[in-house]
Formats: sequence, structure tokens, C-alpha cells
Amino acid sequence: MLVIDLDPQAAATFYFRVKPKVKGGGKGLVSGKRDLDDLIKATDHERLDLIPADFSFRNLDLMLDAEKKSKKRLAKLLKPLAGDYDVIVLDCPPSVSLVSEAVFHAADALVVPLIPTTLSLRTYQQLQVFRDEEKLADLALMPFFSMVDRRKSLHREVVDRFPEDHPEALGVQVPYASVVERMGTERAPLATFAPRSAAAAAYAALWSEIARRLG
Amino acid sequence: MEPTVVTPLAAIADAVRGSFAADRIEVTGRRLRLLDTVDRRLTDSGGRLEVEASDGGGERWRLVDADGRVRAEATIRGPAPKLADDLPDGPLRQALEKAISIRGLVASPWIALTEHSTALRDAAGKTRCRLVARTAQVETTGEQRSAVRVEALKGYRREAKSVAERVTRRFGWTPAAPDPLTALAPILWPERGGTADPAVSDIAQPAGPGLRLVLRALLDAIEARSRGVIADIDDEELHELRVAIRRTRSILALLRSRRRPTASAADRTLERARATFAWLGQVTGPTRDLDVHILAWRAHRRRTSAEQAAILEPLGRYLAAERAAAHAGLVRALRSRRFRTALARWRAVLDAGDQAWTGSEALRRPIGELAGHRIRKLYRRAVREGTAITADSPAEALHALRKTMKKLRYVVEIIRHGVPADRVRPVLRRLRALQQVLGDVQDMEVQADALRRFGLAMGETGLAGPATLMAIGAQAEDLEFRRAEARDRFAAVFAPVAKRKFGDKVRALAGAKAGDGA
Repeated sequence: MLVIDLDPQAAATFYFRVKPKVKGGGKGLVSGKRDLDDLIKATDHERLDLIPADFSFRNLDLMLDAEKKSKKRLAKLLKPLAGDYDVIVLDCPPSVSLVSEAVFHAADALVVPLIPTTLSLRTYQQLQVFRDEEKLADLALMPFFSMVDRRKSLHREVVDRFPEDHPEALGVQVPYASVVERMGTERAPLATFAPRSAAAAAYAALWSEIARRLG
Repeated sequence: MEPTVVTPLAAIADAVRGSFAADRIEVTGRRLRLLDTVDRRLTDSGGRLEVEASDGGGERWRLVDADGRVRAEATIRGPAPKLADDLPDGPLRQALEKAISIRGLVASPWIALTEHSTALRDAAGKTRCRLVARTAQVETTGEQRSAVRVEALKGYRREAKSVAERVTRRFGWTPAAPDPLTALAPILWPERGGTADPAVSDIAQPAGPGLRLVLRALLDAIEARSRGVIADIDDEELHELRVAIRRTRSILALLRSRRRPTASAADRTLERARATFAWLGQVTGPTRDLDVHILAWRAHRRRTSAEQAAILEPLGRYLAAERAAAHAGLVRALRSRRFRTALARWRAVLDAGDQAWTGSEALRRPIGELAGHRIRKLYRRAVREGTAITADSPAEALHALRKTMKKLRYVVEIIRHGVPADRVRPVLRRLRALQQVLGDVQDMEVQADALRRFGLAMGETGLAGPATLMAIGAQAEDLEFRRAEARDRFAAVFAPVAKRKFGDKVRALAGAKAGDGA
């Protein structure tokens, strides 16, 4: 599996203890002049590699815009990696931008973590509209709830009602748990330092469901 | 250079870690078997096939590359398939088909693999490379191989290189030895001996002493492949055995004295050998024919739908049973006193020394002269036979030409190292192309006839129902169709062989002088 951290905040890169630096920066990534394989870093976990984030990714929109067929650029860049990886995860910044559009065009599925709040649901609706406008019918949407706190009535209400209108929703809910935040201090995936936690079990179940849907 | 002193991995790590910190040493153990073909095709292609008991029952097969990365894997339940063709559809089957073709997989004994490993981390705690010591020990024999490696991680190759350099500076050996499992391959699948197509390099040499060495290499191959056939390793062992026998016969024909073929003691010895190898050619035939039928059945099965393939299963079972009976007969022949005595006598003749191989007029003539005469004669015959073939010629005419062409090719191949490569290669290429077409025509005709015969026998004994019999008929028709296609190609492929220009090239080989070779 390959994770590409497209978010200049570099959270995934930080968690994997990799330096947030890419040879040639964002330009090196999108220009196609540099072999993408040269940018890949192994993580400490078997069969899991990473293309780290770089601070220059904050201007990735502009860099993509300078390229021809900018929306399909990412898909073209990723094609040579198809033989090496079963799954490529594109970790996007939380906004709808040219980078997100390029991701939508490259991806088979969009896994959307939702916090059970009104604003989150609104963002998801915007995503749906955007997908329809871009005529990306093949792009599967897979929303799921994260940071669920069932003690809060709003959370309970939202997570219980959402699947009625959204059959595409994944069944797994990731609970709000402080152990998840420990990823920042441990700088390791949850399953390595808290494998028996409810959150780790939820993430494992989430992945099983996604993998099953991807076939 | 490999490590000669066993240094604990912790000590190695401590000595070479530089500014990195080493994790605690982790020790893991596995029990596995390796699979490869008898001629080590997987090892030679830089891979290995590891087999372990699977948690959920059955076996887990993993095709691993030289760096230890899993290229393809599958869980196999039931008896282990010998051929890639018998594996379930998927990436593993595809990768193996490419790597081993139609050769059979042979399992090694169980191997205990112990791994000591540690990660070298930077100040941020990120692993930059790994130090791994692996020891593989064959459980039955105790043979073992060990290796210490610095495993480079993607994106951090420079760090691994620098640690490896420190290992060399500190300990004097290079941590780049092949994986111990790969290093065990020559022990697990030893060289089989003999070579299928030996050749002479000096065509000025007297034929007897020069060809004696070629015949000895072929005898080594015959003995080694016979053992493979008895063990029923795969079809290719028998095919290679038959090729070695045919090449032996071809040389023996070359050494036949022209005037009085049995005048000298040497001539009589060679005549006995001719009879032995003619017999061997005969006894190996039926099993090989059935192997070819089974290969054709497999190929046909791949081309048809799953439903048709299922209907043809009784034919596969019938062929397997016939082949088992033929193979049992062949094994009896290869274990017989006649076979053992004949081969022992032949080896004694070949080991008798050069002096004993100058006892006839043919044995004393230079190889080039002898081969040249035979090449000219066989080429003339081939042109005569081929030119006489028309659209109405019977199959026998093409079969006769095929045999002549095969004899011609074998003689050219014997002297191929003694003549310039740029002269011999174009001739061999053309001869092989023609032989391919002639082979296709004959093989498909023989197979179609045999299929009808099998169908009849299966129908009479109730081994096949109407659907299977119809499918057999369809397969025979398919073969007939492809035979006709090959037959149509014959004229176009033969025409350049009969041309004066090509004849000149063949005659130039026939007249090659000593020292012409590369």
C-alpha cells in the first residue's frame, strides 16, 4: 500500500516519522519530470510506503493549474505505480480545490470521514453535488463517522439517521477516543501501540469493509 | 566474501550503527519448504517459491523475489500441483507459468529458517535500515547456510549503503550474500549432469577422439535424464532424454564407415551402440507420445470454455491412465539389466581413451570433413524430398522430410562452435523454422488420429458419454484445422531453404576448414 500525503500540514508524514520533504517539492510531484518512485519512502511498517508531504504542497493548486489537463494530471502520474501497489491512498487537505478535483478524477473511491455534526454533513452534500457535476459516476463515495461520542444526543441522532438517506455509508463508526490522539505522541499507527483498543478494532473493521467494497 | 566467524547480530549492530540507535534483537522462526524445477528455473530467474502450512488448512505458496518481496501468493488446498497449469487462476499461476513454463515443481525437504533482526533508527525514531541475520537449515541433512544483510528501505538506500560499508570495514566481509534459502538451491536441486546439445570446437580434430567427448556428455545427459524419468519429475525429462538419444544416434550415423560398415572392431562396437540407442528411442516413444497428447489436451482445455473443459475431463483421466501404464513400462525398461549393461558398456567404450577411437576410417577423418559430407548429402536429400511435395502429397512425404531435416540440423549443431557464428546462425534459424512447420503438420495429424482412437476406446468401454465424445470430435477437428493451416504454410517456409543462395550457405558450412570457427 502507498499513502500519498497531499496535505501540506503533513500529519500522516509526521505520524510515520518521515521528513516532510519531497525532492523538487510540489512541482517535482506534478510536473512528471521526476520519477514518482524516487519520491517514495518506506515506513516502519511492512508493505506500507509513503510519499511524504512538503510545505510547498500549499501551492499545489497553482502548480497543477500550470499543467495541461490539470484535473487528470494526478491519475496520469499514478499510472506507472499500479503494478507495484494494490492500493494507493491519497490523503487530501480538507477542502474542495483543484487538488481535490484531481484526486476525484484519479480515485476509485472517496473515503470521507465525517464528524457527526451539521457542518460535516453539509460538506458531504457539497461533495456529492460536486461529484455529480463533474460526471464522476464511477467514483464510489464511502462516508463514515469518526470521533463519535454516543453520550452526545446530536451524535446519536446524526449517526443513526444518516444511513437512512445514504445507503453508501460505511457501517463502521470510529468512536471518539483519547487513544487516537496518542498517535501524535507515539508517531505510530494505532494498531501498533493500542491494538486491543475499541478504536483500533473500529479502524480494522473499517478497512475490511472498504477492501470488500473495492473488491 | 561471506562471514566466516559467527558474530552475534547485537554485536554487529552495535559496531556499525554509527549515529543510529539499534532496536532490541527480534528472533523469529519459520518452517517451510521450497519448490523449484529440477533445472532451478525459479532460482535462476532470481526468485523462490516458499511453501508453509496455512493457518486455515492447506498450504500457503509465496513467490518471493531476490529482495524477499512477495510477488504473488495463494492458498493451495488438496494435493500440491506439480505444474503451473494445475494451479488455481490468479497472479501466482500467471507468474509461475512465465517462469517455469511446462516444467514440474519439485519440493525440497523441510527447512528451518531462523531470523535475527534489528532496526537502526534515526533521532526521530524512524527506521533507516534493518540488519538481518538468517540461517536456513535443511531438517533431513542438517546442511545450512547463513547470511547477514543490511536491508535497504525505499527512499533510504544511502543509509543502508553506509552501514554496509561499515560492516565491511569492521568485520572484513560484505553483507550482500545471497539469501540463505537461495544459497541452499544448489544443494536442494543439484546439477543433473550432462548437456543436451554438446558441440565440438575444433573441426580439424579426428572425428573419433573429438566426437567421443560429445558422446560422453550426451551419455551423462542420458543417464541423468533417465533417473529423472524414473522419478517422473516432469515431461521435459523424457523429452530431453529423447533429444540426447537422437543426437547420439545422429553422431553414430556420422561415424559409420562408408565402405565396409562392420569391417573393424571399432565399427562393430559402434554398430552395437546404434542398436542400443535405436531400442532406447523405441521404448521411450509411447510415453512421450502420451505426454504430447496430454500437453495438447491441456492447451485445448485452456482455449475452450469452462463448461467444455469439464466435458473433456474424462479424456484427461483416460490419457493420464494410459500415460501411467506407458510410463510404468518405460521405467521397467530403464531399470532393466539390458539398459544398465548397455549403458555401462557404452561408457567403458567412451572412457577407453582416444587411441581406441581411431580404429576405423571414419573415426580417423577430420570432423569437418565427415560432417561436411553428411551435411551435403542430407541437404541434397531434403531439397529432393521437399521439392517433390505438392498439395496432394501424403502426410508420409512431409514426415520423411521432417526426419531428414532433423538429422541435418543435428549435424550442423554438432559443428556449430567450429564454424563462424554468422555463417551457422542463419542456416540454423531457417532449418528450425522449417522444422517447426513440419512438426506442427505431423504432430497435429498424429494427435487428431490418436484422439479419434481414444474416443473410440473410451466409447466402447463406457468411459465417456456422448457429450465427451462430441467434445473429443471437436478437439480433433480443431487439430485438423490447425494442421491444415500449418500445411498451408509449408510451401512458403520451404521455398527459401531450396534456393541456391541458401544451398550455398549450407555448402559453405559443409566445406568449412579448421580454424574458421569463432
